[in-house]
Amino acid sequence: MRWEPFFVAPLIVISTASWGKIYFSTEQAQQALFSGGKFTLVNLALTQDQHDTLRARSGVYEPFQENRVWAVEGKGFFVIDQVVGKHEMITYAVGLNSDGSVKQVEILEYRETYGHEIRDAAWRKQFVGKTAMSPVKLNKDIANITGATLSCKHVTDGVRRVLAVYDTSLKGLPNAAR
Amino acid sequence: MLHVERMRPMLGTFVTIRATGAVGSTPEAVSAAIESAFRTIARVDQLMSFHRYKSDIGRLNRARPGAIYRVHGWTFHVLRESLKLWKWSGGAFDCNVGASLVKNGLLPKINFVRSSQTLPYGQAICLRSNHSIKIISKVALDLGGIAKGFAVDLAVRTLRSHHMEMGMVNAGGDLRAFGEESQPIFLRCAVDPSQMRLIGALTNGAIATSGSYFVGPDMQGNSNLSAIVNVKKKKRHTMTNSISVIARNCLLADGLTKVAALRGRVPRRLTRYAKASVVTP
Repeated sequence: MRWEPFFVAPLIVISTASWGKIYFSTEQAQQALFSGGKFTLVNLALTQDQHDTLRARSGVYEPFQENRVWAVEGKGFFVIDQVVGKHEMITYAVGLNSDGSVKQVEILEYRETYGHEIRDAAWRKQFVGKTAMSPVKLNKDIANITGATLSCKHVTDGVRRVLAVYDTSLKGLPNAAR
Repeated sequence: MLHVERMRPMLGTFVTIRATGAVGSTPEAVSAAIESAFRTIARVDQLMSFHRYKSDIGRLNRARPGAIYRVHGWTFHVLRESLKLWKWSGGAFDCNVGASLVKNGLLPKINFVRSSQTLPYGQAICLRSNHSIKIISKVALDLGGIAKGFAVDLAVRTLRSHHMEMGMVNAGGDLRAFGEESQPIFLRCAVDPSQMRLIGALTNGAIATSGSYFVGPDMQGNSNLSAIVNVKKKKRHTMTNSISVIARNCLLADGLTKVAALRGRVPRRLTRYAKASVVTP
């Protein structure tokens, strides 16, 4: 083990507010979850009632986007969804087996936005001039962040919503049973 | 050289695994190594989660005094290391604090029975040979302060067994790096978590951080309360800054952040055992 502390700290303050990381594109995620599967986009048209049910069952307030649900022939379903937490915005993919159980959850894109605070210009102003770019390449290295544990509860809620979508709309589709 | 990075929601937080294969390795091999590492972490979660009814910890928390349970070797290892931390920190590190965390709303009110009296961790259970645990008084164990680090250690071991040359596993701030190259480490500023500072470079080691900024204020609006329970004062520890510890493995780094937060420093015996030091700037 070797530790080299960095003392010129005040210079190296980086804002994570605009930082994001893409782990997968949609196609890559489809292949990672169901390799070799045949994907067909499902045309979901959720009624207002169904949207309300989803909200009640998951506690997620952002509307569910219906155009990101795929049926995988003979294997199940592939759903992309997005949740906005207090501290970050996350796009994730859920693979569902044909019996409706969760096969895998993968994060596609992780973006740190300090939601309510970012929109508040006055709050942002206090940091103007404080931020300096670091000499290291951001995209490669920024994963090494240590800090207090950030909860992933809202992704869990999001997955619950995807399961509710399955329950209310996808279950009866002909692709599911096979 | 091939480099793959993945993130999944696990252990109640976000787990990032990055691996670089040796020269000539295929993308499939690196992805398979990462998949395997994620499975290891999922297994640790299954064994040691407070929330799961069937986990080892769930079983121990429901057990009656006098009962003897056999647990998985990994759970036993974590409980044994916890015992060392408890002993050598003079009781500051205590994982028999589930009851207080439930009372404060930090853990769900399931899976355990409240009891009138809680003994300190080292007196409440007795570790025996053959991976069995004797419950002496009713326990509410929560390994939230140490098992994430252990999961990271196992994930690193899995990546290594798949012949990955370099890599990093980060479970919500408890991270371990392996390989020849040094990795820059960023620390979230406690006063404003959207800002980070470069605090140093780590090669082949582990670092963990505890802070209060993602915990959220309590009913009285005190936002500096952390999820660490001070067993002597029977209340949650207040911290305005975060504290980071490096150690030879992530389990010890994770556990020692709690000791350092409560005691203000790491006792010498633990420093030697874990090759630890507090690196908060």
